[in-house]
Formats: sequence, C-alpha cells, structure tokens
Amino acid sequence: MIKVILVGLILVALVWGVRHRDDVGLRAGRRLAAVVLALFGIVAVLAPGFTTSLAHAVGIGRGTDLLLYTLVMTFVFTTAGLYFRCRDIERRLVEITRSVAIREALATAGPPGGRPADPRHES
Amino acid sequence: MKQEAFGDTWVVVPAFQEESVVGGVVTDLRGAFPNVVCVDDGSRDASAAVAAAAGARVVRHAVNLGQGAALRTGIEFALLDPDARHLVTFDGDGQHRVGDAVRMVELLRTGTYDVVLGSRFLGDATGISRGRRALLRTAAVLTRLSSGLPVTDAHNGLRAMSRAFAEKVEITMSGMAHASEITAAVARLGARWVEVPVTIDYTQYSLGKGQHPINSVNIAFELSVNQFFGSRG
Repeated sequence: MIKVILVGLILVALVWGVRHRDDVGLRAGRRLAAVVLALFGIVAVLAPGFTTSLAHAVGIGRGTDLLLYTLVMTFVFTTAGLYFRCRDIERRLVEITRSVAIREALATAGPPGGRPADPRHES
Repeated sequence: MKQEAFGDTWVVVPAFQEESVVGGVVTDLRGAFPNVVCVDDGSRDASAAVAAAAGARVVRHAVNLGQGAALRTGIEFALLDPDARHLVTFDGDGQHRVGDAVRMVELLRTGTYDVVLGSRFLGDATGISRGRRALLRTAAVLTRLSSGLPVTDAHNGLRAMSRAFAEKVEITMSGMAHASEITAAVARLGARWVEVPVTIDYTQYSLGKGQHPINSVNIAFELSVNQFFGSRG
C-alpha cells in the first residue's frame, strides 16, 4: 500500500513539476534539492555507514538501494526537465524562423497579392 | 481567363528537398491558381529557386522546422493578402491533383462549408500499400475518437479552407502532428466541414519522401504530451 502511495506521489510530483516549470519557487526548490543531493553524496562518501542507517530509518534494506532510488528519481526528473526545456526552446526557434522568413519574403518581393499588407505585420 | 477565376485563392505548398518535383507542382497549380506560395522548409537543395522560377512566391525557413510550421508560415503569408478569401494546402511532392483542389475551392465558394478536407479513401489512392492503408485507417479512427469528427482520412495534405477558418486555426505542432490539430480545430470551432474524394498518386518518389509508418508513434506521443501538459507558444 505504501508503495502505491509513493509511486502515485512521484507521478503527481512529476506532472505538477512540469506544469509549473516556470514557477520561481520551483526553480529555487530544484536548486536547493541539487545542493541537498550533493551534500548527501559527500556524506555518503565520507561516512558509508550513514546511508545504511538512513535507509533503515525509512524502511529500505541497504544503503546502496537508497542511493539507487535517489539516483533513479533524480534521473527521471532531470530527463523530464530537459525534455520540456528543449521543447520550449524549439518553440521559440520556430517562432523566430517563421517571423524572419515572412519578413524576408515581404522585403524581397512585397506583400502577397500586390495590395498593401495588413499594417499589423508591416515592419 | 481561368486564372482570374481563382484570384481570391492562395495555394500553400510546403516543400522540403523537393527540387526535382516542386517545379512541376507549382507549374500545374499556376495553370488554375495565380496565387501560389511555396514555403521552403530549410531545404539544402534548389527547391526555393525552382519554385520561384515556376511562378510561386517563396517564403524560406532558414532551418528545417517541419511541415506543420511550414503550413503555418504559408497560411500567415497568404492571409497578408487582403483579397485572399480561400486557402488551399497542397503537398509539394506531387501526390495531389490540381483538379481536386479546383473542385474543393468551388465547393467552398458555395458558402456551405468552412473547410473541405480531401480523403483518399473516398477517392482513389493509386499505388497505396496494404500496410500504409491500414495505418492511415487507424490514424483516422484515432482522430475520430479524439476529435469526434467522423473523418475517413486523417493525414491528407490537400485541404481547402475559408479565410475565417484559416485565421482561427491554431497550428502549434511543427511536425506531422498538425494534421490531427487541424481536425481538432474544425471540431473546436464548430466549423462546417465536408470530406471529398481526392486522388493521391503514390509514386516511387512520394512514397520515398512520405512518412515512415513508425512516425505515427512520434505523432501520438507529441499529441498526448501536448494534450496533457498544455501547449505554449
């Protein structure tokens, strides 16, 4: 049962994170999470027993498993984040390219149909 | 004489690396339609020059963006002509027939419809393979389910639309998923639409240039992501 809830929470967090990906608080949260993860990594290297005791505390058998779970989660969230970021950048590239194309066409041979274009589009 | 008859119509021809055929397509179109805009979607060959020589206005994307983006650019450009009343989309690879486009615009002119969609399954799909037919049929069924529009052909590049519809249709998908977007827009805007039989000439060339069946997976993925996470400009 707890597993179902955890998996559900992860999915909800993923969808929510993607939907609010421009949110300032979320951006700050991501950076804080990165810092916490880095600290966690340092502690895990310096004191190997720490991860195991932490794992036991949350009901996971071994410290390595806890590390693996954290790694997988980080990977999933990072991949999703990058995917949507690429998508947004691509959108912008499309807008720029299209707008340049139309301006160029108007500049070389004038408005289509020979009559003056809609003033909104004139540069 | 015939030319003047369609002075209020713009034909949008998206083309990517079509230098060997796009000239013929534009020449044929110009036999009936004086206004042809060819959107060269970042081709590295002479597509733009060939289309211009054949008499089309050419709008060039500096980089390849995909057919959806090319159509959007072409439609936006055509709408800059205040005299444009009807718009036609017509693939640059030579698979459509000008006669079909003429019939579709004439149907649009009766004022009964806002959108006229071409369907190869009501008409004649010359040289279509069994697999492609099955795939396109499936795509049509999925489009029907998602948009509620009983179309028989979801990915046909030949369409005619009124200015009013063209101004309102929002194509956000740059790739091939735009076809489903157009049908969705028809449903959303409550446009009056009809499908008419058209002939698709499946030549070796157009089949080679056409979509690989596996691309349907990408289209489905893009559409669901768009639906689920929203599309943003």
